[in-house]
Amino acid sequence: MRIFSRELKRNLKAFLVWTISMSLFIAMIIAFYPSIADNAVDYAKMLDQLPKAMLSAFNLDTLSLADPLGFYGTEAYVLVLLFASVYAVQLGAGILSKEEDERTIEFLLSKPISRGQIVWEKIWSVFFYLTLFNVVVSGITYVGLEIVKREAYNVATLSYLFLGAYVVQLVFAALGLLISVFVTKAKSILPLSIGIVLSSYITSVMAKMSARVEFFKYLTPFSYADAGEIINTGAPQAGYMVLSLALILAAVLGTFYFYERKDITA
Amino acid sequence: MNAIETRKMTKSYGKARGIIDLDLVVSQGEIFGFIGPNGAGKSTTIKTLLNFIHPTMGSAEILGMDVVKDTVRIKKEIGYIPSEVSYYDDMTAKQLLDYSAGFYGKDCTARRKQLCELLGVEVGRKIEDLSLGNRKKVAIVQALQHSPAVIILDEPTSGLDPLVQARFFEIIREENQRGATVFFSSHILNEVQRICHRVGIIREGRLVQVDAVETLRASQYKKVKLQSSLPEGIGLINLPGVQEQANHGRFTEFLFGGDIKELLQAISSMTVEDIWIEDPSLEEIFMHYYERGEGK
Repeated sequence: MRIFSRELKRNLKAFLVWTISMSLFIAMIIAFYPSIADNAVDYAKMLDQLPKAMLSAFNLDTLSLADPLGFYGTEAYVLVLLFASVYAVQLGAGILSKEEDERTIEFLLSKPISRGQIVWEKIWSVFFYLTLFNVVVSGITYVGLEIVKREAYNVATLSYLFLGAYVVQLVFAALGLLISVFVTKAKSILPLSIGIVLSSYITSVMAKMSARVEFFKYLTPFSYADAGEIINTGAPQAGYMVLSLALILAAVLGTFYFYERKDITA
Repeated sequence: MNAIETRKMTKSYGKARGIIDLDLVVSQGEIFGFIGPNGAGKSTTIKTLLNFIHPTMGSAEILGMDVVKDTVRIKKEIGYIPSEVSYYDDMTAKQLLDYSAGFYGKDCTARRKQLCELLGVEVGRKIEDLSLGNRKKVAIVQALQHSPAVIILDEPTSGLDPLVQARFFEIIREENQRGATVFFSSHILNEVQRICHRVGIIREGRLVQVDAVETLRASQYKKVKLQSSLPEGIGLINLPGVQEQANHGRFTEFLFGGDIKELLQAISSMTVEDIWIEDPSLEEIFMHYYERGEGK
């Protein structure tokens, strides 16, 4: 518990900054909904001019802007997921490597605590903040949509969207954690985090635009929570969720395994 | 049971040398000096003992416990002062000491107060704002407040001013009288001689010699340099203990291992204008003393 609570304190500021700015960002997007819903017919005409592949990449081929879920799924969801994933991968990647980058790890390792315990408590602190982040951001989104909605929508589907986004962030956090066992310099962590998230996103867009590389969708967490799929089928695909959990488990176990064995020379 | 015992402990970093076949025994209750030039493998040894890094071959025990398998149990008994102190910037000294003490599950407040007073630690200040020497003081308190059985010091005096150094040595002696074993790594022969019972010398990753400090002191050489008032210099000095004499013009340099009084008497009758007497560096001792011992 000692390291867990220490990490809560240490990561509080970043948590507040991310949560508040994400909430404001979402509130801002949702505020546009009424004007877009009112002019939905005109928007639909305009969108018809765009190439099909492009529409499909942004889910505009199957979702309607007039529908609160369709609006949220096309206008906000991907962006929110992108930013949230950067936060997740950074949080995961920084939690262990920070001690090495700041050379405080020698202090910690000279205390009677096992490396496994250190990793365990730090993982819990990441899990804690990421969960809280999703609860707040999802709550704001729900309240916002409730305020502006013009027609009824399926709240269960909305919560599946939230769940999908949460799971994707957990995958990114776990990947960040594993990577940070090997890459410990703080100045490499940020570009690496952004690089991973962006390349995952681009991969997921490619998978949607071209049937030839459709299999790419298995390679990127972004495909695991696709707004179009979730809204149209009403729930995330079980296969993707299992794959996500397997990835998380593998990355976390790998982190324990390699961290236990690595030479730490701060 | 020994405080520290290594058996053929080896650590190599890829092709680079770390330490090779280190057989080291430190008995309980002694202050053991571990000296060698920079890069000889002192820190590698300590990091292996503390399981920051894993031995490539061989094994080591502290208080009879394996340094890899039992590292958590071992650390309950250890106090460690690193050569470079890095702590959490956002903490005050007090917060750091609390954080540290918490891991041992015992009340350290009385001893901490003593140590902080002895060393003059300002516990209320942020570690970020402390000077190097003051951070080192925090490191000392952090390592000793839980009264460890084995104290491991990696160049502990760097950054401390002479007055605090003297205090520090006093504290270490007290800890030793209390029963603690001290493993003192340094590249400064002088400070090791001041406090240690036995000394092990490491060079290029290998332990070359373990001696009682008296032996080392008896074999201690001085580096002497004389400047003559005459242009032709002093000439050959005929005195037992003078070695490797070299003359360049007015200057004469040699190593002296004999009776210092005899030397002074001899010098007083020479045409000497100026004189320098220094402790040779550790490297020079290796060159002139231990290398011959090794070559036997």
